[in-house]
Amino acid sequence: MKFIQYFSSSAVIFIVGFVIIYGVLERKNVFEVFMKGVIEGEKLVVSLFPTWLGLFVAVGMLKASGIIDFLVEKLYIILKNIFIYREILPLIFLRPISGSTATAMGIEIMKNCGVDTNIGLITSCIMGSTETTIYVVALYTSKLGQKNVKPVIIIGLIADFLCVFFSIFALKLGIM
Amino acid sequence: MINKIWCFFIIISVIFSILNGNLETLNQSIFSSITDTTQMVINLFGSMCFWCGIIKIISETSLQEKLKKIINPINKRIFKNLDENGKAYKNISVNMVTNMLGIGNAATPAGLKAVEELEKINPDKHKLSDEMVMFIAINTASLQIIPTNVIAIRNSLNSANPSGIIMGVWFSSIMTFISIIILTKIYLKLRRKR
Repeated sequence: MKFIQYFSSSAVIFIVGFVIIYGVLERKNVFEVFMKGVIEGEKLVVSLFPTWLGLFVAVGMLKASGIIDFLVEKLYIILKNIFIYREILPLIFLRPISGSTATAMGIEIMKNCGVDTNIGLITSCIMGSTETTIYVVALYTSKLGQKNVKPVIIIGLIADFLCVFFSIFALKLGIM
Repeated sequence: MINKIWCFFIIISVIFSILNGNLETLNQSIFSSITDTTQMVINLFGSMCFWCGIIKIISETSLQEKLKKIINPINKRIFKNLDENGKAYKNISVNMVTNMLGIGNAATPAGLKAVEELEKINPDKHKLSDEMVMFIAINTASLQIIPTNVIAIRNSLNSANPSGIIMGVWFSSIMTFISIIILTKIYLKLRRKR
């Protein structure tokens, strides 16, 4: 486990070093090429700003309106007998919509219920094994104009829910 | 669709806030979201540009070919009809490898380029091509070798074993990834029949 922590903290350094050395060995003007990439990056960030702003404001409003808490409450009444991990419900709701909120929610859950409890483990697993579906779809289709993206969103959402079951299953299997 | 979702989010928030009587919170959230987003973009700006630079070096050396080869056994099966030497395929490879390494900020630019290239060879501009659906769907899953963020969070919360979840995350993310591929294949088959 020490190795994993070492690897994750130094992975970026190794990757950057490796790429640069590779470039030098192939006799490329590494800095010049790097600059070209950075300029592309600048344009990219600027062109993505509208998507980010629009999306995050909408998600922020959704969060502040209290509707998510409301839905979780209602859903819990229905699911009380089937789904025993009540604390995780808000996370399941938020994960596909907002990455940062889901992270904050996950931390909150682990603080309240303990990191190494069953709920803490499932929470960590859900956080690590899926992406923010709505965000990813909005981001990658933002420059494509009008297209029907409903199927992709539905596929992503089904996968997010499946991920919850796989996470619980992983715990039951005893591999974490 | 994103159009509708966006409007839906805002309209439902406003209506619910009026019913709930917490318009003040909603009001504040708009301004704090704007500030937060701007702050996030500033924080992201440097890192995004930096990774774009590194990716540019990868794409101008033979490293891109090497990355392509690493991921090829999986990619060839997922993107059967895509030209292996095309730009789209190469960018998809870079996107997947950087995603696996957990550098999301590097994966995004490569991913956007891949979508752009896919659009160029898209026969019907009114809809997403099969490859686009597959590629975007895959990106909604997270295939990370080391889930660094979660480990860091668990560490900060004084977990007895921060990286103990790694097998669970592998299992769950690989299963999710496979389900996405199956779901997408089913959807694409249905779409072709129609």
